[in-house]
Amino acid sequence: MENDRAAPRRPVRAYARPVRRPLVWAIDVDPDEDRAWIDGEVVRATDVVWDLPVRGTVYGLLLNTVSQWTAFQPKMTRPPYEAPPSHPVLYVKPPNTLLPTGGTVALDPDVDVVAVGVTVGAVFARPVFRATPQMIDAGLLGYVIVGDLFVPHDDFFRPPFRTRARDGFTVLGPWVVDRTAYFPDVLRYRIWIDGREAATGEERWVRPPADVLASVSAFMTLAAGDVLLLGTPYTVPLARPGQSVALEVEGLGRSEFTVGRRGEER
Amino acid sequence: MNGPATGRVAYRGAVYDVTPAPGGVCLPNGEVVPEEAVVWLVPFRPRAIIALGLNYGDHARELRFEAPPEPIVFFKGPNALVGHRGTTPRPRSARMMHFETELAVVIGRRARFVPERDAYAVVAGYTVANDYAVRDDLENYYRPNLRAKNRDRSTPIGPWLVASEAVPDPMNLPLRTVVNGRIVQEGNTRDMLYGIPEIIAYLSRHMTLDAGDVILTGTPKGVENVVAGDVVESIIDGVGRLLNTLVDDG
Repeated sequence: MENDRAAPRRPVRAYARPVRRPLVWAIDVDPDEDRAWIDGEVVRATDVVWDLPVRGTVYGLLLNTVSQWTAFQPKMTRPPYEAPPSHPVLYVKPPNTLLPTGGTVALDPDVDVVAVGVTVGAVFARPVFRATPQMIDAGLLGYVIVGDLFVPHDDFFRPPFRTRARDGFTVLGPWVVDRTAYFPDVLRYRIWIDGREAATGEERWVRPPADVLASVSAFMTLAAGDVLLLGTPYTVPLARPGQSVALEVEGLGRSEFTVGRRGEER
Repeated sequence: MNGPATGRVAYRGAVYDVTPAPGGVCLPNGEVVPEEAVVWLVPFRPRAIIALGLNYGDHARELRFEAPPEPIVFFKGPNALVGHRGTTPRPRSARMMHFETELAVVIGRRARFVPERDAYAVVAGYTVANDYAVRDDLENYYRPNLRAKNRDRSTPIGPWLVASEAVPDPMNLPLRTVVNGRIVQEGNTRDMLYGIPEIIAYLSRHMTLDAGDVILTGTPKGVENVVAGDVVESIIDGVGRLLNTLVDDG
């Protein structure tokens, strides 16, 4: 699969909302070189203040990376799960969780560490309902790097409110790379904490993204701007208040945030 | 309807904020039109859609679950909402799809770490919701899962947003569900396991609530299967009567 696709020519088309240039939407970026061309001017992407590129509803997928599925598989046939999931396991990342790159995730008093999940978000360009896997691509705007943060947990029976719905737990952006310039067959990522490499890896999906998105669209409409997170690796680093985190997904770009403590700033 | 209540409707090609009037709804220009003549929209601009599972002891027992040691909280997407007098598609293959009449609490302002004693101060008002569940599609991962609870138009809501001041005791409201004219579910909000102040305190301890967030507070005992063609009324005294019709979804 990798071989029949040439690497996209740089720069590639992306969609973003730089805070100081509110009229900008389509830009050119070189996602792996931290560069963007905004109104003809070349900038270092990490020097720009970015707003969230999209503001739809964000849905996450559990157990869709091979490592997460494999690690959890022995428990799937035991109570309370009883059987492996027969459909994609979804969760909602509500609006309070959304944070643009460069922001601060202020941990609540009852949270000591945050797990730095890294993933790809598929961003919808138009309403999609009951699409076939072949039709999905035409419904997408593109793909975005996402820090899908969570409080570590290994109990997946009840919905993940205290573990996934905290303020700032969805670090999204800087930009959405056009669907023609990124192919989500493998998640290649690196994570740094305080400038030191904390994780690097390649992750494959349990079900191909087009199949999963089609399966979700079988029972609900995904609207323009909605984002579906494709899954996080089983082993991810933990970050504590005071630390700075950087994520990179090959072909999508770099996202950064700092971890703070609730009460130090609002 | 007592006191101030507002709705949002589409009428003759435009969208209006309306108020209740004898015989129908009152448009901003004072014109009164019958409630069947308008298309009812969600009566507020929804942001986070928050729902509680198993929040009435009798309903938890009916489903053979223990009362939860802490609130079961899940979220829904805006695709799930549909207005008063709307239709909800029912999957033809489902053996059990049931209504869940619930008091919906609409948040009026940004709120974090709200103590129980101050909880009502962040409430804008109340409305009625019917949070249908397709039980055939339940799975034991992040249960209740989205396929069972987040289908398009599976959560009728409305007709009115009744201002907080007009509902003096939201923890003592009779609620009932009527299917094709027959009362099938009866309860009272006083039987919630976690009451509104506890829910708001619990939620805001873990997340920032904001204007437009809505909390569906759970349903009492009495759920039963409904089929395409059924007309389902969800009624909460002093808050509203929400009408929904099930249609075949093929």
